[in-house]
Amino acid sequence: MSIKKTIILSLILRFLIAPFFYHPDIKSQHFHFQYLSRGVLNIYQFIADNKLSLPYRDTFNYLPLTYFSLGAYHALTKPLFPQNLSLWLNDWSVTQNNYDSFPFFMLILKLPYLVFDIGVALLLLKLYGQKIFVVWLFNPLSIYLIYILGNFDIIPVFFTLFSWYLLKRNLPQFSYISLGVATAFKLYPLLFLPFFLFLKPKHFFKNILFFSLPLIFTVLPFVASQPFFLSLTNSGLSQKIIETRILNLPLFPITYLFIFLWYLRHRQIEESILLIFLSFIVLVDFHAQWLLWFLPFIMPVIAKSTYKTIVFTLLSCLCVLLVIITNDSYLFWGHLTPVNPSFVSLRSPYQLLRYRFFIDPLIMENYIKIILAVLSLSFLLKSNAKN
Amino acid sequence: MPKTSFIFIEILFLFLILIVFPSLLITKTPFYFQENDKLQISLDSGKKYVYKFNHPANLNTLSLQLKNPLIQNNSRIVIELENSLGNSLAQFVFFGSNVGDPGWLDLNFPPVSDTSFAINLTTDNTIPESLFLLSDPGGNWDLKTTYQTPRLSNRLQNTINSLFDRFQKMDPFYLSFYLLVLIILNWVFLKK
Repeated sequence: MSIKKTIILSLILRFLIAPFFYHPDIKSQHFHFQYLSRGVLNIYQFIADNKLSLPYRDTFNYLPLTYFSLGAYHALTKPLFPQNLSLWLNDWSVTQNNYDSFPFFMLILKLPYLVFDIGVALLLLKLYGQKIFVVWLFNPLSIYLIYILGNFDIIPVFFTLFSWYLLKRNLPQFSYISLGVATAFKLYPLLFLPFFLFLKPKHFFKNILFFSLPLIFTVLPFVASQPFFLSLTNSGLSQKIIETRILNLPLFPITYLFIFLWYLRHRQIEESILLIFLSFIVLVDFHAQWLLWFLPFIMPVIAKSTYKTIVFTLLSCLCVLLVIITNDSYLFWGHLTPVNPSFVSLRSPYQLLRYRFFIDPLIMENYIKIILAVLSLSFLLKSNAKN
Repeated sequence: MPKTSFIFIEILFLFLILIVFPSLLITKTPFYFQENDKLQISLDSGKKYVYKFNHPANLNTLSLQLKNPLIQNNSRIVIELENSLGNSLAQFVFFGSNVGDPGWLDLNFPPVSDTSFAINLTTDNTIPESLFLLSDPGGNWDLKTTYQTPRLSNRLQNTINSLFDRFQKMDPFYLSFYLLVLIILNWVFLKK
């Protein structure tokens, strides 16, 4: 099948899925983004000042570039919004799911993700060839993470991969600027930065400067704002990566350090990111959308052998199982709320486990983590034996 | 893949997601969703609190919102559902420790064919202003109900009807835009 037809087929698939699946994260994010079109520049201060009068009172826990870019999309496309979208964004009452145009709200809010998703596919085509391009476009995991959970992580993922592409094309300045842009959306590319920097450690400080530029430009205007810092401390990643400890030592940072040392010897970036991914799913209590960060980098390694593909598929299924037994009624049947609002009232897997089978979902989560650890270890041992 | 099979798969997906899944899984339809929290009616012993309402047949869940400040009161609460003739349909006994601050008390029972009901609430609470029922100033209790549609054929019919009803209320620009995009993408994909 030609590249053009593959993209069109993937678009058909995405247009069939995107409107009918929902998670409230997309609503809470766009609830905040809408304030840019109303002239609010410091969203952190605005929420702190108006918390009691806002219909949704959670803080905005993302970086300023996320607010400005997706807020700009919101402002530019506002005249084209389906009727009632603004009303729906501000409706947090019991009627919040009873909107006839709900599927179209999902479609318009997920359109930017579609652009970056196809962008990632095209970068993968350039970097690793047609097989990985097809795997990206049709693997259920990335479709689930982008269009069912509906988070904006695909945007920094695109910029991180673009940075890797530019680095491979020997354009380090642009590469580090791109990685800086990704970091200005979400902080996770900091995990990848040392690997990029030490691939060709020439002009180390110059590269760090280029990386820092987007962050400096977007964060600097907010450094004096206390609500901004308070919002950032609510960011889950920085807390969750140090939660799993033995003898009070945080396991993920230590494992990360060992992986980095291994990388300094072998200089294999995709394999190193796969190792980070494996330790991440075992040692970090991750949010589902975080899995997307690693996917484009590890796909070429996974696709090399049938064994790796099978183990990775198992790992992915277990990760999704971990997500759906979370105590959030929107993480299973609730995804289908745009089709019928009553889906959210159906018993979630968490409730079924707890109230029908009298199994504590937290204990089940621990068992799944143990299976993940065993699978990851067997994966590593097998790869090591082959090497 | 032949063109007809490809289009059939797409239509099958939409049919499954829009009609089959809701009809198979959603057996209960919400009817009342009254949540006002404006008035707190103090529940005291020796009084009978009554609320009458009409409802479609096959009522099978009922939720009332009560408030037990700091969960300190552990009095016995009896809730009885009666039909219009005064026949008891279901009775539930709770204690203060089962009531949140505030919280919904969910009552589940087999579907009942009546359409006119009365809820009777009594308690042995002797401490005034320590246990409350939430309501609006007009005396309408905070109430959630659902009724069951047991037959799959009826649910299929209801889903199709509500889908057509929804299509009529949808934004026509977006509905045509969505269908047009799908048609164009299919046409480009299937043309030689």
